[in-house]
Amino acid sequence: QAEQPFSTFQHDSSQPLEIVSDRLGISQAAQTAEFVGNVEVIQGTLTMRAQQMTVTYDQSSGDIRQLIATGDVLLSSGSEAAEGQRANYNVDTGFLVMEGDVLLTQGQSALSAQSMRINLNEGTGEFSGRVRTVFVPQSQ
Amino acid sequence: CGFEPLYGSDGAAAQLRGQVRVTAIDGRDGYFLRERLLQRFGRPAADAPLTLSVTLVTEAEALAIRQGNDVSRYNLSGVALIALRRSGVAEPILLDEVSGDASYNAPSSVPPAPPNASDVAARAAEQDAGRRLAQYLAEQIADRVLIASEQLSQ
Amino acid sequence: QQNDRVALVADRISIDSNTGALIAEGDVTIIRGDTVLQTDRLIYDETDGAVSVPGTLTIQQADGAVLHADYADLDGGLQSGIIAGARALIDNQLQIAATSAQQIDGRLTVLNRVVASSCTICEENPVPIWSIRAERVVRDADALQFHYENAVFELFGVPVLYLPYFRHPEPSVDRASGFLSPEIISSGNFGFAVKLPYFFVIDDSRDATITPFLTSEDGLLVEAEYRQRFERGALELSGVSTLDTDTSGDQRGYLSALGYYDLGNDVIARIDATALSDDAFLDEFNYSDTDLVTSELSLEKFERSAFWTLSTIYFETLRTNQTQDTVPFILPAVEYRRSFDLGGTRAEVNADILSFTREVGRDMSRATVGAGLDRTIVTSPGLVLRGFADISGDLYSVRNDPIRGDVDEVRTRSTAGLEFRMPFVRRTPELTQIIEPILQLVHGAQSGNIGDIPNEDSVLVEFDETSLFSTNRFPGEDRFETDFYANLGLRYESITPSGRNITATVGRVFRSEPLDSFPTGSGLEGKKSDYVLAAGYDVTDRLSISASALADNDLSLTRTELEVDYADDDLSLETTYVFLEADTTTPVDRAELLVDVGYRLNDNWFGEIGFRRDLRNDDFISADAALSWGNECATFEFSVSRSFTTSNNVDPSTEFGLTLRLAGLGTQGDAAQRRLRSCGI
Repeated sequence: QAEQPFSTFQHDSSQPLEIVSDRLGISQAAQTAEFVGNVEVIQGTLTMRAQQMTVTYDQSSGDIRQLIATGDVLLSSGSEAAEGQRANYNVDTGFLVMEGDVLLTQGQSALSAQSMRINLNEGTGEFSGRVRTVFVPQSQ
Repeated sequence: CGFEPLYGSDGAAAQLRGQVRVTAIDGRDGYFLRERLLQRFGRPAADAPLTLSVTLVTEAEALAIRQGNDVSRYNLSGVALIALRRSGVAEPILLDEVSGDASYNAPSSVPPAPPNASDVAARAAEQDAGRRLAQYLAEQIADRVLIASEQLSQ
Repeated sequence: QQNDRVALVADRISIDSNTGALIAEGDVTIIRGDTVLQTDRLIYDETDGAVSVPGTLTIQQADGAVLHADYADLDGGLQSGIIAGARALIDNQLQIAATSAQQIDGRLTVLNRVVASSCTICEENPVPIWSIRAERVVRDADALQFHYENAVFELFGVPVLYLPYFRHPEPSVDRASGFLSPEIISSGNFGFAVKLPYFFVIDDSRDATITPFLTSEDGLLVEAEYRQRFERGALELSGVSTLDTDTSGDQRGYLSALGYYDLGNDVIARIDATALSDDAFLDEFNYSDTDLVTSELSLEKFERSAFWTLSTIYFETLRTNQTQDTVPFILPAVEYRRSFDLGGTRAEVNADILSFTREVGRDMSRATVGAGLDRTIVTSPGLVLRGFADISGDLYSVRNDPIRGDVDEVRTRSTAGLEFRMPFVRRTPELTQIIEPILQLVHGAQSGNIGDIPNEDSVLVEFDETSLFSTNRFPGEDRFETDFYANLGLRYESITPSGRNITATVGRVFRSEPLDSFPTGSGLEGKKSDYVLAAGYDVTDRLSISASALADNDLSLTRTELEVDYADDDLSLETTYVFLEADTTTPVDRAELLVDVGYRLNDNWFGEIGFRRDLRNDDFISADAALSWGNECATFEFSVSRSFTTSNNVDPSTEFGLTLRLAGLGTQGDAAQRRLRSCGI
């Protein structure tokens, strides 16, 4: 049974979210932190890399509420990878939206679109903007 | 009145003699057509600069049919497609066609009297019409090539 | 092949990895190999690889067929599956609609409850001219054939023919066995008749056509044609035969063979022979109204400036006033000519043999050997001087000539002459003209007594612009133009750069002595011949006029031939007027008008009228008319022709013909050009 697209794009919200970058700037007033240069976010099997990422925190708990990444964004998890120019990951809702020449690759299949919207909780996703995909059909 | 001898002056036609090679033309009529062209253009030099190729298509139609439904006169109509090229060059400098007719009588009679000419005579008349038509078209072709060489040289 | 990749393009693709469903929406195109499927919504089920298309779709199949359907369930590779409400367009000509269809391996193979037609079906004309309804259609992809089961053929929506099984080739096929268009004819001679030809492909180089020809008054005939192409030749055998014996009990028909074969180094053998059962058959069954059937076997070789031919010719007369035993049989007729250059002089050597026999009447054998020289020099003032001479010797052997009995004779003939041409040219940018006065001074001589040799082949003498500047104007060799004669004339030719062209020839022949072997009425009798007047005028590339006439001494016309031809995209007109004064070959004046008009009214309608009228007896000789209507899927042709003359004991008769040709069932020439007229436009 071949892997279905996005089956691996699921985030385990119990896992800690770890961010590494070259430089870090924090703005207490806006409750945001700006990571610049080879930024990498890891949560369980899910990792996201980008040139620059702005993270917003929850005022009271200090948890990360939202990540906005720009510049060669790459979301990968084991066998699947999705790249694009910008990504917006809302940790609470589990929705990740990637835009700008999005390319999803999984084994022999590939899919390109203008924007991709994944629900990381349910593993469903939607592409739009002249979507193009090549895949290998099942032998009946 | 503006007319001057075609071969007299230094006109292009004058230099045309001996300059045109004529390729083979199919069939009996083709032989006579080619001979008349060689007569008009003169024997081509080995390195003749121009090559003329002719395709002759003839068709006989009944011209006059009499009451007894027997054909008493045929009209042999012919079209000659000509292509004049500079020797060795594929692109023709003249593409044209000339047409003409040559009629000939067929054995005919007023029944019950028998026909007054035999089928041997009919065959001779038919072949002679083919030769005459070929030679008549050759004269027109020669003129057309002469005129074209005139216009080309202007 | 299964692992062929599939490309999918859409405005939106949503993926539900739990159910394994991939939903593509908005201008969806899915491509696999050469198969392209387009729709608005498509569901690709990852688990079993099935593609289901709930809404309308079009499939462009590998073989070029375009298929529209209401919905479809196919395998992942789009190769097999069920298609509902399929409407296919094959080779842009044949439309097929089926309630359901099964596609196997990317090809439409089985269709159920089918309607097929190549006519454009639109709201304004929902009923196609012809259509075929069938319970089931199987499409054989290899043989490119459609097999119909329980088929009903409908004309204008009315069922006219039921066939348990029917087959036709795909439109793209230009050579496949099968029935050709039927022909319905009615004729005064054989009554009402139907022809249904069956074309039969034997192999790549051979095919045949067998046509049952069922007539109401003469029973069944069968026409058969066999064609074979060799590497260096071709042969065509055709024949017709009555099957059930008619009133006179004997079988009637004809058999003919036409072919050629290249024997190597340009020697070609030819055959053109026909055997007939009786004189009236060809005319009675509308095959030909000829009065003579010539069969010839020949060998020939043609080179650039030489040729030889060797042939035997059998004439079969159909004339009522001539019996076969008086008709000559030529065995052999040989001709050899070779020309070459001797320095500046053109030389020719020739030889010919003619030998023919008759059961009743004159037999004759003749051998001739000849040679000629021809030299042209251009003198400085532009005068072209040509000298020519030829000599030939004949050996005659004549048996039971009605007047002369047996004759053995040797004869020599010679011609010598000078030709003076002085062409003048007038050059202007818009017109170039050539005027060429020509004078030929010729002397002809022959030995022996001309009366000893019977005149068999030189009876039909022709004098017009093509023989004005000829030496020896007898067509054959039994007679010869002797004594001094001068051909004097003028040739004119003009042409504009755009090709408008005028040619003219005028001239006359002057003789030292009248030549009585010239038949009266030929225009060459006496010391001064008739005037030759000829002109041709291509007014535009559509209209051309040509006239050729002979006028006697006081300029009254003894012969006129006038032809006017006009042709543009819609109208074509050919008219020929002939007037011939009585002469020895035809003791009565002849005057005839021949008219043929074809007119295309519009894309569909084309009409044609033609007649030949005998102006001297002021009645028609023959008339015919045809009307054809055609569109992209069918051509109706209705023709009527009437011959008013009684000939070969077949009295005047009228023939009607109706042909219906269907387009889209195998390649159809013209119908294909008027392809799909899109609806409403």
